[in-house]
Amino acid sequence: MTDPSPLPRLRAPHLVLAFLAVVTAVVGSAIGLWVVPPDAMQGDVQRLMYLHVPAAWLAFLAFFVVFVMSVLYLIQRDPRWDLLAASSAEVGVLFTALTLVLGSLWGKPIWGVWWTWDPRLTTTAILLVIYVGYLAVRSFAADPERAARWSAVVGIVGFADVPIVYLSVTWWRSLHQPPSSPQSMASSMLWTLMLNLVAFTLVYAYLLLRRYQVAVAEQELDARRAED
Amino acid sequence: MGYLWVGYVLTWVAMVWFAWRLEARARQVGRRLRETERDRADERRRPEGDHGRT
Repeated sequence: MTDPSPLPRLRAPHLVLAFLAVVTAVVGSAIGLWVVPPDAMQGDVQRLMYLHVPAAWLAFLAFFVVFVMSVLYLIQRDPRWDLLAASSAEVGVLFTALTLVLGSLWGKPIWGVWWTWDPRLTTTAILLVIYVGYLAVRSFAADPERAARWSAVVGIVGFADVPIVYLSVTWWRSLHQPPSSPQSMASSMLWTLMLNLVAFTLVYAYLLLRRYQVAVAEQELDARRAED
Repeated sequence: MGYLWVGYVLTWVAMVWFAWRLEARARQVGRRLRETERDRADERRRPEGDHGRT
């Protein structure tokens, strides 16, 4: 029996993407936990960096996608760009929250505090607040077109915080370490970091596509209810 | 070591929870779409002039 639902089911490419995401994430976590040697100074807790750094990079990517889709929406007024932006913002909020929590879990044993008002930490917390606000704007505005327009503006203006977060460690005196370079890392650590970055990217791609499918279906449902 | 495990477990739980919630939402919206589809089909089958009488 065929399913009359217009909600796209998980198709083969999407399932392959999900499978690859899970496999690389499992392998990446396993190598990060048990294979790569511990850091000479920080010990085992440094292994949190194999999650913290990819989570932060993917948060930046997610918000860059929000920025691009928001610009496209304001130019073309195509609701698909708006739905993609909103989908990416939700996943970006997840990764930003993970970045902060993982950083805090690392900070306690290394810095001795869970939290400090360091420029990098503070600007990252502001980033989280901006995109939670972005999602709140969407839920508060009753008119979908207005919600899309307002949130697109927040998505564009809010993205200004991303380069500030990145450069905060070089602009101001910061407790947070400056960006590492491949030259400053052992190759085993670099490859583990890269593998986890690939894993997080696949997870992001999967969640973004699936969230977008659900958003399209929800919009279709709203349109039908408005017709009836 | 405790901080490390909490971090890894929390990351996995957060990602799985997000994906799980998404699938639950997908099932819910799919069900509602099917319901509206069925209601519309019923409406089309109903004889002319019979608009919702019971």
